[in-house]
Amino acid sequence: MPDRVHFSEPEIGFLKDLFDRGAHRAARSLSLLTDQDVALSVPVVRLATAAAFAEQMAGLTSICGVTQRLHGALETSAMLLFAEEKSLEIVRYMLERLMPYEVLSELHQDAITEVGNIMLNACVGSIAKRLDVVIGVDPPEFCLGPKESFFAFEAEGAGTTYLDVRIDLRMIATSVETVWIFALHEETFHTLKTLMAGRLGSAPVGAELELAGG
Amino acid sequence: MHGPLLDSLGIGIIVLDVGERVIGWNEWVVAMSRIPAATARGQRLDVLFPELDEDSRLIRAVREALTENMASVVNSVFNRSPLPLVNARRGERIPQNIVVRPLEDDANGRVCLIQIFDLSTASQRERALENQVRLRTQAEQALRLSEARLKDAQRLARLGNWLWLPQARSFWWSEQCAATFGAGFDRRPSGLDGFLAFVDPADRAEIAAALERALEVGGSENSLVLEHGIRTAAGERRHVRSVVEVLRDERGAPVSLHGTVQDVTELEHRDAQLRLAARVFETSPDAIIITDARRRILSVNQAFCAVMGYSAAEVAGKRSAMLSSGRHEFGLTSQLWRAVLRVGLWRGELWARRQSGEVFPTWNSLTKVCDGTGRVINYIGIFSDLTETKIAAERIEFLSRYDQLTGLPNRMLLEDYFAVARAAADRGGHRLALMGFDLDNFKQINDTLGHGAGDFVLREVAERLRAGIGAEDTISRHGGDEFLILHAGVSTGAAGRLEVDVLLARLAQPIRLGEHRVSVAASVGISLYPDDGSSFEVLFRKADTAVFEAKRRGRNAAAYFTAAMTDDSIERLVLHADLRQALGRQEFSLHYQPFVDFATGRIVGGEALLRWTNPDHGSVPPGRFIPIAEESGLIVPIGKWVLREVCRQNRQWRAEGGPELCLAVNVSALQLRAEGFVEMVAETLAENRLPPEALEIELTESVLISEADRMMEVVDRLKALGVRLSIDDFGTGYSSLAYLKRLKVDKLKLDRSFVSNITVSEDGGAIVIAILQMAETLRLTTIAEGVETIEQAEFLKAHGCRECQGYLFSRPVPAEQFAILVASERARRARVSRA
Repeated sequence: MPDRVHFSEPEIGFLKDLFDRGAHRAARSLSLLTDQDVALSVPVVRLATAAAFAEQMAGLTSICGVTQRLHGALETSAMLLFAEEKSLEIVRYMLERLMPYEVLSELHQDAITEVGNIMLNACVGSIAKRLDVVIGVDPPEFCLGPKESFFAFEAEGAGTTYLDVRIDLRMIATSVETVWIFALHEETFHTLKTLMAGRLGSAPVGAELELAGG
Repeated sequence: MHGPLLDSLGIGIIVLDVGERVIGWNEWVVAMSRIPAATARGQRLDVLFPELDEDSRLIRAVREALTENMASVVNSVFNRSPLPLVNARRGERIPQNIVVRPLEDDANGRVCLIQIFDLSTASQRERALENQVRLRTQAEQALRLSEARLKDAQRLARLGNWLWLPQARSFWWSEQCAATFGAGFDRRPSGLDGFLAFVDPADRAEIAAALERALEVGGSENSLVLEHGIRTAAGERRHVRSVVEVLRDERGAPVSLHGTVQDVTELEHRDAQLRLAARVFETSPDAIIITDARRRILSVNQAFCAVMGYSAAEVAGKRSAMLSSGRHEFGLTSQLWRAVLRVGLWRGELWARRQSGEVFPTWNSLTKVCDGTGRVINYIGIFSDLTETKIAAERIEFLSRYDQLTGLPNRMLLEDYFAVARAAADRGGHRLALMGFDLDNFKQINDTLGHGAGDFVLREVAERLRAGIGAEDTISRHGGDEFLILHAGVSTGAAGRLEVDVLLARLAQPIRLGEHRVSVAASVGISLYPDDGSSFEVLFRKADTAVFEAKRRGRNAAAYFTAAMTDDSIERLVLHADLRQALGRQEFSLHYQPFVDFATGRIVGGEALLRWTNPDHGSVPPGRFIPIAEESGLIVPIGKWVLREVCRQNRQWRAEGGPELCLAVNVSALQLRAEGFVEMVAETLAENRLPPEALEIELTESVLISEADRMMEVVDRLKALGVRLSIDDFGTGYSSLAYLKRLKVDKLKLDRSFVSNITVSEDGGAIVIAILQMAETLRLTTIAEGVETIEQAEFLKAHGCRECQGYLFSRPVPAEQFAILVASERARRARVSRA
């Protein structure tokens, strides 16, 4: 990761606040959708490299996720990743139905796609509103496969930095950690910094954030 | 958005405008919802489907699409059935997967497109999910392929390995290793010696020594990297890179040698090519710039630094756009990048900006470089500085369109301007004038003061004319001392004359050339558009004809073209052609007009006058054919004939016992200038056994003034021969008497115009008296021409004029009559003296 790619503490704080608001909005939508209490929080926002992600997911064999392309003020891809077993668990709880695994598996894709879509739209909506910009979101795509393929799929190369957003999803008796990733090309990165600088009211300077895996 | 296309899709399509009202509702939706399109149009979804409320997922997705530009999926998993759509055949609600997305529509602006897939049909489910399963399949395929790829990789890398166990004296090699040496897998060597046999003889000793060191007990050589040549079983020479690792036991004795052999022949070759490419890159006279896919500068060569003024470090990492001048037509940059992306190459001219800020033209080749997958990884720009080329091209353009000496447009460019001016004249309904200026005495300046002075005068004339014309007028020089003015705001008649006169007056101001001052006069010929023609060519020709006429009228004058001039020109052409034949056809003859001495009344000589009688033209007046003979140079052979004929005649008369007369011939400047003129005169006199005083040469003032030095020399030599010299038409030119004295002329011939004025006005008489007195002072003989009356003769005689010539005594007569005239005059005198 290039050395100059970093966010200051105030910037990270700002981003965390944005995602918190988005998560709050998403939680309300999910609660409405599933007729039960869903809580979302964002404990960590940081920058990470693809290698760092691969390391974190070392214990997982298969992950599933939803990717959506953002365009407009921010050009990037966003991925919401779940460990495959965890995602099945979420769907089961959300549907509040005990059903055979085969049937669940069939519904899994639709459910995760929609849940991911709701979470992402809510967050992007919150970001766009706060930064006063227009960010378009393409329809979601469901992905399932070995963890390596997610980064190969992104194919953005080693130079791309990722914004790593951890999301804690709680409902009824379960708590699932999901990972939200925004691919940040150099340009996107600077756009985001500039937009935030406008909101933070100062030039984007500050203490360097320690990079995960960097 | 509407129509058969939507109906044929086989999925449900609903389109909502920004106010969430239906503007599209296809057949599929009609069938499933049982709501006709006409009913649906203009309605909101929550009106059409009352079970949808503000909080329903679909309505919120629609709102997100329209207001926040976001796409959503809404499906039956959580939402049961998002829309109350019923399959008529089965009579049940259909499970749906709905994609809600914003769309920009030309006619309606932002709209919301709702695509409804029926999940109860397999094909629709597949279509709904086709994107979403792509990844898994790809991943699985990737895994299956990976093993094969590894094998391929080994093969492609040409990397073989071998193992030598010294204690067991066992050697093994891999298939690829065997292939590298061009030997079969089974034909592996039995030991290291066999292996070394493949090493190129030139490298063998060195490699053997290295391996020996590795095999030493307690040796420290545990890792070797060797590059050397090999000879394959087929005898082919190749280059390999070997890495050898030694494993030792606790005593330091080698247990095994593991080696890899990689065929790097191609790599070597490529390295050599790369080195060459790098050298070419650095030494290229063209500037080279290499950027990454985002057009950020990665590398530039020395020529680039020299041309642009930046160091390589200053531009590294910068956007290549920094080099652009910003001077291009709008859209050019995007056009060229599109071309580079589409066809891989763009060539053309661009304006670049140096570090100094100077903008300059460049010739560019832009190419893209792609990796194996076709993705652009670099752009290469090669350009050369066109500044010098541009200057040269502009110079050539200038030279081809402008006169080099004066910087004025040449005739070619004037023609272009004429076309433009003509169009404007047609629109405005006004005239154009083409004025030809021909300098009257330029040749004289050039000959006497040198070409440098001539050039100076031409530039000065150009400047004066340029300063004297209007903004819409164009002046051009088209060779020599001829200028053309294209005049747009034409006045005719007196006003037009005035304009020309103003220009002539400007020219007449003396030009200082060092210690000399010269005046320039011009003859001006004018043709008018559209009166005299419509093409430049015709108008040019007619202006030229008019120039000629102006010169004929006495120079420093202007003449408008008239049809008569054309007739005149044609006549002149015909005369010229016939004049060429006249000598050969013996069509010339000489008439003589006597010179009479006032004091004695004797005929003392006569002037020979040329006559031309042509079968077609009859008798042609000298005023018509002499100028043509002068212009064409025919005057030289004709003049020679005249001289010979006059001398022959004089000889003949003398031989017949006639008086010893002095006969005068007119000699033009061309004749005087002709090589060997003086010698020819001497020869002719000698041939006819005539004394030099039997011949008088009449020169005009203008002849003497032009090329004064040269003429002075010729006149001096004639004088030395002993021939007499007279100045013809004296008083019409500008020669000073002192100058004439220096020339040692013998006689002044007072022009007939003075003579005819003697009795008309007092002034006329006074001028003649002054001339005669001055001539007397300078001891020059005087003869009056054109004496027609007794009064004139008496006046002239009374004031000291020596001789006279004119109708009073005799008109010019043929030789025979002249002889009779002389004889009768002698007889009369004899009678008188006898009496």
